[in-house]
Amino acid sequence: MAKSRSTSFAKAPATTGRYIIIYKDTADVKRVQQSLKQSGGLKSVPSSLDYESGAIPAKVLRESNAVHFAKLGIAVVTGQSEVQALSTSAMDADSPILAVEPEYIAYLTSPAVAGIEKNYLRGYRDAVSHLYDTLNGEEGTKPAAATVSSIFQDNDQLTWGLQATGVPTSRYSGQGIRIAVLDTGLDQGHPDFAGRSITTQSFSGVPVDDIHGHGTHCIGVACGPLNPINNGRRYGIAYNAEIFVGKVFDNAPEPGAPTGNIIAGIEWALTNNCRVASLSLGMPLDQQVMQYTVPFQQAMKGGMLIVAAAGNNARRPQNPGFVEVPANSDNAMAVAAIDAGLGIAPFSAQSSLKTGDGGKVNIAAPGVHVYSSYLVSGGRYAFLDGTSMATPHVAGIAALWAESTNETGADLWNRLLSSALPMTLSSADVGCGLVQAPQ
Amino acid sequence: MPELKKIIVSVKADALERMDELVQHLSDRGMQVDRVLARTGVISGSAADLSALRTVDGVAAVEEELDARLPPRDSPLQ
Repeated sequence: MAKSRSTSFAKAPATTGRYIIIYKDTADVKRVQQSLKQSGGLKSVPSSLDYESGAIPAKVLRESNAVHFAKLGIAVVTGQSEVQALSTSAMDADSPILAVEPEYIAYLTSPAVAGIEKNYLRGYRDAVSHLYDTLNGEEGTKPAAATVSSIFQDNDQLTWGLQATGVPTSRYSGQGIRIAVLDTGLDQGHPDFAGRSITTQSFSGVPVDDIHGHGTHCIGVACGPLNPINNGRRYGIAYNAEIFVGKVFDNAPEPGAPTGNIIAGIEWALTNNCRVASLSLGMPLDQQVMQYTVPFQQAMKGGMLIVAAAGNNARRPQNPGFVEVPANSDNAMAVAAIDAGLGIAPFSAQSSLKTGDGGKVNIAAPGVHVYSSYLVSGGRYAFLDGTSMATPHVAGIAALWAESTNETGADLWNRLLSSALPMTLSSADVGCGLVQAPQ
Repeated sequence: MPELKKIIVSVKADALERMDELVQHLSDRGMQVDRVLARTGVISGSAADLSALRTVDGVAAVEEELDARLPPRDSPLQ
């Protein structure tokens, strides 16, 4: 049976009303489905196997009475009578069920912050950890803890990513801080950026206007408004920051940006005293190249923090990938993408074994199902996945820290890493943990 | 005539103060200079013979220029 586990809670953790059914590792998928349907009386049981990525959509998780996570050998079940029936069936010696446990609500808090009670965010982290311990203790396997269930979700006021990073309760807004986003440009007709301080420069020979959407999405996450024009949820972090839009990509269907454009953008950002440069770009090369490492070192010396996407070259669980160029430069903060269950995104690259210190993942941020501004012609808002989306979360939060501490460059780098929220995932996947905003 | 390649020359930190001189030396050895980035220490352009440029005093590296690429806009993974 499951080992007991000490928790950090002073009192018993609250539960969600849902239950986690943990199956023995000898029970195959068919047997589990049979148990849920015949013993539990559940009619329809969506399974992670039904979805190509293995990720069950949040809507299905919310609306189903039972969900089967086939790779983990568990099911999450709602309903008193169903849970009762499953518990009863578990008493049979030949039952495939190992344990039935309540799903806990945990409170995710920012460390070292006064007034934690006010700032807490509801989640299932404790259940996830408990489950991990249980499975790990029983079979020595390491399930991807956060695929178990969704801890955060977008609501009417906030994206899940802002909730998970402590942005809504932060007193800071990026006031007086310049952030450069080197990307496909910005849709300057987007109403959410009306009235903002925006400086634009193209390095690719085409107008700075975004016709792809990637740049507008990234700028939205890093610097989008406190109150979007459509009365929709807040998705942007440093809403008072000065935005420096560097267009480094061309307008090809699959945009390209040679190093010269990108470093010209870095130079421009540095010259304009930007404290942070956000680079949601890369190329799948597992070696360091001096065309990035040398100028990035100068940028750091000059007091500008460069935040870069770790890369989307992983295909987990088979292939964990590697931190790519230019995130693998010593002075680029490599950002991994996590999902709303605080699990590593299947595409998010792991620390490289070849490129030393630079090739490490440094920090993690929300990068799955990220809602942000988008091309007006494309509907104004969109959900995208990628380490590209995780990167501007870190850039925006870096601006908040720059505002709150006046720190720059290496000091700002250290501040971001030391304030990150520890995670149960491997440091090769998430570095120091989940980026957190100053309070 | 050998083919011209797009290149990135990165400059050592202690040579940043004499960028103009470096640009002149690189040009003398056949580099066509496009951009000179004085703060980050990067000179971009084209050249056929990279090895001739590597021996210029103050040069940290001469590499062929790389390209970052994005997926098309309808790709869910960005």
